[in-house]
Parts: sequence; structure tokens; C-alpha cells
Amino acid sequence: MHDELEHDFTAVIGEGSANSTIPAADRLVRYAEACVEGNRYAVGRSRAALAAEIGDGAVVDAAAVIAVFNAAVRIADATGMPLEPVKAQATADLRSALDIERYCSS
Amino acid sequence: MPAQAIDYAASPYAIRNDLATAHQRAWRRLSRPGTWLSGEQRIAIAQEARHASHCTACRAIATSVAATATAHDSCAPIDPVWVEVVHRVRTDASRLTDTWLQSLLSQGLSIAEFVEIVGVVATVTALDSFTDALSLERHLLPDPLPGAPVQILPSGAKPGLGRVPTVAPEDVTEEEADLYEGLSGAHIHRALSLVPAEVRGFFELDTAMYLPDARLRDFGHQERALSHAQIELLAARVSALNRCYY
Repeated sequence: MHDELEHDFTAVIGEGSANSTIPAADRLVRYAEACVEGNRYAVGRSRAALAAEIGDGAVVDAAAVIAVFNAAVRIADATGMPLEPVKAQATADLRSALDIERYCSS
Repeated sequence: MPAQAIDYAASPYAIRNDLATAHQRAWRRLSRPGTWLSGEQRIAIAQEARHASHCTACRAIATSVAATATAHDSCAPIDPVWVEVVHRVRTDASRLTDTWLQSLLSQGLSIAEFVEIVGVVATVTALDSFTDALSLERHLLPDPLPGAPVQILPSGAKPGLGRVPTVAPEDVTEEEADLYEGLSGAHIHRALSLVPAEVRGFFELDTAMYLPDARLRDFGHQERALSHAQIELLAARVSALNRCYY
């Protein structure tokens, strides 16, 4: 999750996206939220706002990422896949800061 | 063009050719006999996955503290145990447990059937989520193709990771030599490996919709119209919204 910049990923849990260093973070997060919630009106509105900022091609790519992760999470959860130890270790601080551990299931 | 062919010509957004092709291939795969399920069963599962969001029992389960088994509103001619799998994976996946799966296995579900059902639900979810995100009409489900499932288990599959047996990269045999071709063999790649065709199918889709695995850490190369950071932000936000730990 790194390029040459350090990014604030608190937007992952729906906070601070308006101040994120990631371009168009707020609009991306709003679009993802509308899509996952299945709110048709919010999907259309957030998509239009996102397109105005980053263009139609990027909107299609965003829709594709949102859609495939909406599916991949079901594979991970249904099969009970644990996170790789190396990834868990590498992201421990970030997970702790974002309180992602609360999603851990049995 | 057959009625069930995927066509984005009417989309107000230009859809990348590789994306449209991957969707077309996924749709065709859905209609073919699988490893443990017939084409007819796979399409019935896809239909049921679409129906799950209208199920009152699923809504009741989602709002309860402890999910309990209830009769689902079903639309497809499939076993009630399969309906339970389809609906829960589609609507409540983050709360599934080992105990839940064991209970279904004791009612006659096979672990390989379970894995293939998860693969089918994931495929339909990916394509429906995409069309919904762009406010396009959902694609008509394809007509099932005749034929019998091949019913072959990969010899390298072992229990120990998650709640289903999987094939570790070091246990891939010659018959499945291409199982993790282009993939790192991460746990998410292994998740469906009890049914190798589902790994190949889903991750072909994943490569087109997300990124090729080899590009995940190639920060000097921007594969899409979005940057790596933007893509990972979306991926992580969707995972968090779905309460997925992985």
C-alpha cells in the first residue's frame, strides 16, 4: 500500500477520507460505501461526483475493484481463510490503529 | 448474439476490452458443468444468490445477535442445505463459523460441493456488483450447458488452513500444475483450491477487475486509471464494510 508517499489509511474505516493524501479518497470511499450498501440513489450520485473528479475510465476501474472485492471477501469468510502470518505482522500497527481486529471471526 | 451473452455496448461508460472478455468468460464458465455441480445446478445457485437479498429469513438473521437456522425464501430447485449456503455466503459471510459448516456437512453437504457453491456465488456477486456500481442492467443468467461434473479432487489437498482442505503451493501435483499460474499462492488463492477450476475461474476475473498478481507490488507501474493507493483504499474499504478480517 505504498508509493513514494506515506498515506493516511484511516479512510479504510470511513474516517478522515476528506483529509487523505490519496487523490479523490473521499469520493472513492463514498462511492464504495454506496455500492456496498446497495443504495441506488447514492451510487448514482457518488459515481457522478467521482467521475467529475477523476474521469469515466477511473470510475469503471473503481467499480471493478469494488465489485471483485465484494466477492473475494465472501470467499475468504466462507472458507475461514486466515491472514498470512507475514502479512499480519507487516500490517499489525495499521490494523491496530484502525481497530480491524474486531472483524476476526471464529 | 445469444440472449445471455454479455454486451456492454449500451453502457454509457467505456468498458475495457479485457474486463468485458473476463466477464464473458466467467459467464460461460458459470453455465458449464463444474467439478461437482452440473451446469443446471450452477445456474440455479446463481439464481438463488441473486434472490438471497430479498429473503426475509436472511434479513432476520442479519439483525440477530446469534445467527440461527431458519427456512429461507428460495426460488431455485436446489437442496435446502445448498440454499442455506448460498444465502449465508451472499448475505452474512462475515459471521460464518466452523460450527455452521460442520452442521451442514452432517446434513449431507460435501465439502467439495460447498467450495464450488462458494465459487459460483462469488462469481455472480462480482458481476452483479459491477453492473450495480455502474447502474447497468444485470446480465441475464446463461442457459446451463449439458454434461456431468467431473468429480475429481486434487490429490495435494490437505486440511489445516481455514475450514476447508486446500492445496498448498508446494503440494501442487502435475495434474494441477497450472493451479497457481500467475498467482503467489496466498491464502486467498488457496481458499477454493479443493476445486481447482474455481481458483482458475475466479482469479482470471480478479486479474481483470483488480490487478494481475505480479503487479500488486509493482508501484512504479500504474496498470489502471487509478493509482495503487487508490485501488488499495477501495479494496480495504470494501473489506471493512463487509467486516472481512482477511
